[in-house]
Amino acid sequence: MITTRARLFVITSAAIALGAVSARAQQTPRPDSFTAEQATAGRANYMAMCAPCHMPDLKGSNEALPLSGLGFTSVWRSRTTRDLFERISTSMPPGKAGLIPEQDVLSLVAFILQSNGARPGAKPLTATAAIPIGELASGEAPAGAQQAASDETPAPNARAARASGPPAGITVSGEVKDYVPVTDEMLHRPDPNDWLMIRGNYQAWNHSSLTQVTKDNVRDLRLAWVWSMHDGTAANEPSPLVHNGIIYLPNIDNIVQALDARTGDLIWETRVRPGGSQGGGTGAMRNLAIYQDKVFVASTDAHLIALNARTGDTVWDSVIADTTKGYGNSSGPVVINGKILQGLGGCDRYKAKDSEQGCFITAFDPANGKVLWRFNTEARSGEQGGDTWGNVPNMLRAGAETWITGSYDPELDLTYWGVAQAKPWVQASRGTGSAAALYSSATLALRPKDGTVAWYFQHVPGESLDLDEVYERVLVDVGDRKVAFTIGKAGILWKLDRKTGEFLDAKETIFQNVFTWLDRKKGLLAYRPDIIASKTSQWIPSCPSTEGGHNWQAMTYDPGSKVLIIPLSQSCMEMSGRKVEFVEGSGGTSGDRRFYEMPGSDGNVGKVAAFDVKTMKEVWTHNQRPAFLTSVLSTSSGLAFVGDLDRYFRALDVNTGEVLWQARLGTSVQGFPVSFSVGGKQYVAVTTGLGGGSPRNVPRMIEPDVHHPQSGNALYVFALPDKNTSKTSTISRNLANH
Amino acid sequence: MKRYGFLNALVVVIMLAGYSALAQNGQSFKARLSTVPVDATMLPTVTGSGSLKAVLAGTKLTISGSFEGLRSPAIHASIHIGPQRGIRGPAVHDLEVTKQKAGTVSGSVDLAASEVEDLKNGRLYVQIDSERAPEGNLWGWVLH
Repeated sequence: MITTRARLFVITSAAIALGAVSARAQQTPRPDSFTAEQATAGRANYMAMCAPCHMPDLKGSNEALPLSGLGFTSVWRSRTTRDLFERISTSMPPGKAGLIPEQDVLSLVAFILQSNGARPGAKPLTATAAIPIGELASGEAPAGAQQAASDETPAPNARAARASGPPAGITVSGEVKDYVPVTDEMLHRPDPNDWLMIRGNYQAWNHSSLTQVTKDNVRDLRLAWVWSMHDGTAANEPSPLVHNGIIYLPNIDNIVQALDARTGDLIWETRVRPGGSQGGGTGAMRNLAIYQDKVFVASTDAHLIALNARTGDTVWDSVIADTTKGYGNSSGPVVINGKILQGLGGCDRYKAKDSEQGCFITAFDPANGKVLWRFNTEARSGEQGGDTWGNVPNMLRAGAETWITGSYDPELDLTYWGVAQAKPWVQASRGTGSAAALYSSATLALRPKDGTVAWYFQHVPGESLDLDEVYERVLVDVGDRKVAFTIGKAGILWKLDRKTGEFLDAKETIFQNVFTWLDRKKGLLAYRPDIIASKTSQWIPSCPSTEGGHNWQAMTYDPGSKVLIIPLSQSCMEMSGRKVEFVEGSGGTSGDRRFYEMPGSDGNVGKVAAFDVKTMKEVWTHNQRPAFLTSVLSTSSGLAFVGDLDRYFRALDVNTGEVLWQARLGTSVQGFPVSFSVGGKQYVAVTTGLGGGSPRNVPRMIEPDVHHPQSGNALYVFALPDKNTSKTSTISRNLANH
Repeated sequence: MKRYGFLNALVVVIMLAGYSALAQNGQSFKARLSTVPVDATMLPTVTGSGSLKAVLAGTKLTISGSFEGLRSPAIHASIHIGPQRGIRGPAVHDLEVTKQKAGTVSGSVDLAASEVEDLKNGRLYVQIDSERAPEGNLWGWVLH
């Protein structure tokens, strides 16, 4: 049923669209700004260098903004070709700015202009030309141009070929000997020698009960082996799985490897889907799941794939959603009572067809990949919560992704998922006004048997600054209370009753100036008034920034000291929402940002702090200039491991935060540290990595003094020295002294 | 250049001596100077860092600090008051600043009663503009 308000919205939208088309029709492009040859070269360069982030159709993806249509021209029409040239020269590709030769940058500008309706002429574009883009480009692509760009085979250079090649299947053959199938019982009570799921257990504790490495001997921890992982433009933020002495490791570009956990020997490798722009872009592939005789992979192009855990062979490949519509995955599944539960990312584009809309948590049958149920996190018109989107049509209900794997309480039989904000980021861009937009920015408690909602708690109704509340839900019993803790980019640590969803408490862990408490007892926040009143193209300040607060780097719960140890960041931003066309293919994130240090942080972007689960009080804090880029792993011997942008991987005392050990690795330490044991020996593993969204983009702006190599994805595995090895070393040293 | 460096150092020493005497009788504040909100396109022109100390004695605020690493000479420095900590606001008082890529920022101003409250509530910041970043290059929030 279409309400009067909805009709009015459609009519208004149509009028705006017609107005825009009319304005375009009156425009006479200047055919003297670039040549067809430049645009052709630019297309090849774009496919090789830009498409993995901005996508082949120039529509953008997540933090890579659109380079075509109103999303582009609303910002760039008032700027010049020289501005665009300088923008690309000084900032692209992220982290490697200045490496693209001038002629290639000019070709990229030409291609972008052409993709927005500009006509080539006889005169080549130069670096000094400053032609207003509004005089050249209407924002309307030449007929078929973007489809052609999407279909085009990437440039035949080695990098592009590697990034965008077809799925190759098994690339290294081998077999895991003596494989032991993973049972539900194993998942419910994981063997401390294993690391069977992201964050270690269903409760998302990131805690190992192994105690061989202690506060007293951690100073002797040393490298056992290192494994170089695939490098490229995608984000390397993996959480290895470990089972019975085998590490299953997700690499970028949809590559999965099985390694001998004791030696680092490769057993098998498979490329489950294409990489790069053909494989859904540059998002991360954070984690795998393991169950019975299969390893489950959620690919960056929104497939769920079952691999034979022994050989890496693909058993089945099920499509979660259509990646050509922007869908993708950056985190993997969790297996609950014989069902594989998988979230979804990239739900930010508008889709006209009903069947193509929505954003889902999906349950699959592990035997064959068949869908068992789906829950749409974008409440649709006429359904429960459907009246919370300001009456916009279903097509414009975008975002609400579940891009972090959920947790699970076996006793209550409820699974807990964080849901991202509605898209585009800024209320004024998305046309929903201040409507709550369920189930965005909420904690969802679902019944895993059928996907029905037990309860939800919306942390930030109508979120408007890309301050996600999507991250881990950590399940802890505090006294008699069954509690779920979570923290989002705003840096507010939430304490909820996980049986009912009742708000219990909240703690501001860093400085924020975005919210006031409307009702502290009920956990109701109110935005600063100027945020609500803001319009598109207006810069709105926000502490913290989209870096967070907290981001995907998960906290740990240490049951010994009863504290949550949380990686945090301290930065601020100004955000400006772009105008968005309410048409098929539009939407996106559509916000520009500028970043700055958080006042009062003394330039310390990185913060890791411990909070008492009962009182919520900060027990200790460790501040430093480099941002932290890993989850925190705690152990029952009182250690907390965490890594940072400045290549340090450290062990802290869980009681005090004191640094007890550190190692400096090849590049920034990024991912999910894990601990496991093989043959009676405890290992601690962590990855180095590059790529990613705000946790990488913000430090690049505000702490350019922190340097690290621009390659070096790897898995580092540490252990205490063998007693025999120690003796041998001592003997060797003694002999040398004689 | 060496001569300028010596003079700068001398000014800082004199200011610090004055600051030390003031600090014994007033409330002390400090600020870290870092870049104003930046995106990637601004990085080639908006750089630098610094620090300053401030003492409030009655309603007189005395500021002394230094900065370095600008890509173009400083042209102006001023005290601003924002609606909240971390949010830009208008300039309310001018300061002295070395018209070079590195140097000192200083001044002594009489604050209105409301400005004293703004200072105590973290709403006051110092901003240095430069030739290539005339609308702001460095800023620092003056906090306890």
